[in-house]
Amino acid sequence: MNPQPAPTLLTRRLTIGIAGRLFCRDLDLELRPGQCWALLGRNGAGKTTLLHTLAGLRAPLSGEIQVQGKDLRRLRRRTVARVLGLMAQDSTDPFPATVLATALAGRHPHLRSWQWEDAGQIRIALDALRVLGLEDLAQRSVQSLSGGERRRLALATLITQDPSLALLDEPVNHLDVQQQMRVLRLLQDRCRRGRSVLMVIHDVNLALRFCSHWMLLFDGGETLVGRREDAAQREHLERLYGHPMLEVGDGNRTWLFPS
Amino acid sequence: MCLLLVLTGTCLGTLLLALLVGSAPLPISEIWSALGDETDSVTGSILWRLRFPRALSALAVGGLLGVAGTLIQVLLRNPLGDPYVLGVSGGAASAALLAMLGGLSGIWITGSATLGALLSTVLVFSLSRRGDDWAPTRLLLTGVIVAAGWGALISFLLSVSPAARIPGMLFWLMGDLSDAATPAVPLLLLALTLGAAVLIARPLNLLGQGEIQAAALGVEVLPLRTTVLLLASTATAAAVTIGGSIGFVGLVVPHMIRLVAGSDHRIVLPGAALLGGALLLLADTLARTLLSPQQLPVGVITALLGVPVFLYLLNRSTIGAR
Repeated sequence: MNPQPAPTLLTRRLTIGIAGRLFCRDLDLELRPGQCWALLGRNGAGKTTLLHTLAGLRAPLSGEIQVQGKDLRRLRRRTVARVLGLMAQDSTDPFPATVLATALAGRHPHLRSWQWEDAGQIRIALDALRVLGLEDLAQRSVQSLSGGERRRLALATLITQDPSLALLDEPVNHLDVQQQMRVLRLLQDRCRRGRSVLMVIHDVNLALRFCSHWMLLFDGGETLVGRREDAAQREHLERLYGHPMLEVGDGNRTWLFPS
Repeated sequence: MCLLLVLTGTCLGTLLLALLVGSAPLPISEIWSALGDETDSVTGSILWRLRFPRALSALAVGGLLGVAGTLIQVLLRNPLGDPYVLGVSGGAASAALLAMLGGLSGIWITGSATLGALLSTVLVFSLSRRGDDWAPTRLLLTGVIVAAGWGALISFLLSVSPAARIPGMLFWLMGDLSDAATPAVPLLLLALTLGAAVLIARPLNLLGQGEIQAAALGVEVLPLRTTVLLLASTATAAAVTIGGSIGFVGLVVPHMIRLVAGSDHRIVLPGAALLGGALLLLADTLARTLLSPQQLPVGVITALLGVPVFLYLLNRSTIGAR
């Protein structure tokens, strides 16, 4: 018997591209419980496309994706949604649902199609709203939220869904410093409890501080994947962003800034 | 749930009103006594042969339009969607007018209208299809353009028709329930469509938030959208075939329900069916009593009621504010 459980997400020789542009070539990735991954790359490098491909929402050009040891293409969406969650880059709300109802949508993959959300499900959603500081807004319409509040609600929906692996597209976008810390600590905490996270993030120093693993997506489809200590090197970032970086340290920790 | 009870009460109320008023007003006591005998008296005849079937047809057609409008709005993720954006009414009207011009009548016109509605649906379906998916914007634009095409054809048919036929044609184009004497078919269709739609109501809530979000939360998006499109076009085709192009019910009713009940389609869909039915029945009652004994096309009444209500809702809601 294999002593180590199958990784939550595994890719083999994954190649992704749109309309003749190659975003990543022959990517081998192993994502295990407890890991917190940062996905970094320039605008238009294909980070969102990669995230959506990993979530099974679009097909790769070639290669294989396995979710807990099973071929992603063979799994039903409902099954996938209990393992993989996605927080998209933005949300649109053409209809006036309440904040609570929007968070409660996260329970969908856990409920049978005829089942109504019971008190237990509502408590899960309310808990998620509380950890994100949205409990007072529960009965408000989503259409009345600010950009930052809507981001936190999207995360609350994801927490309510409670997937083994959360894929997040710029989760701290639109958030003030206090809320950024709240969100990243929450995600870090999930990883400590055996869940895992893969997030697109543009703030190098937040990625240094909160993420255990890094993936760099270079223009032209090359990738660099590894533990933070190995991947988070100044020269890699300079090559990634095409801009010289400045390393600042206090003997204990290091920060990287564009020079 | 409370809302649905209130709406059921409203439906029964408008039904009673529709039975009471008309060019021959029937007092409630006479209706009570006519409940027993079927067709013997004049009262029984008016009641059972004229008003009751027509009232039930109005309820059913209004319900179908309410459900179709709700479904189309979710499908297009646009609260300004309307069952006729798929060009169904234009297709039905063109085919019916062609049949009238060809000298056909009765069941042949109804049959042609059904065929025209289905033809238009298939046309919009296949034209807006790319690969095995429909993008909402593409669907909307294709529907609008196909509807414009039907509009041109209708104008052409009207301009070449003999003058004697024009009033009948116009009446049909504006929506008319005076020939709706067999309520069983639309009532059955309404029950089937509503039942199927309520079964997929929770996934529909997610689809309203976008395909990416719906798929990420475990919805099989493509089969769901195909189902919604089929249900909406069947319901619209049935409504148009029976009552002509009755505007605004499918647009305004889902709005009014959402304003009161939020966006949970497990409530919105039955709510829209009930309110749509009550609204159309009320409009039809007005249409046959306002200038009695002359009957107005019911589409005129729904438009006269719908336009101010819609403008009011648009003005006070946040739709289009972003």
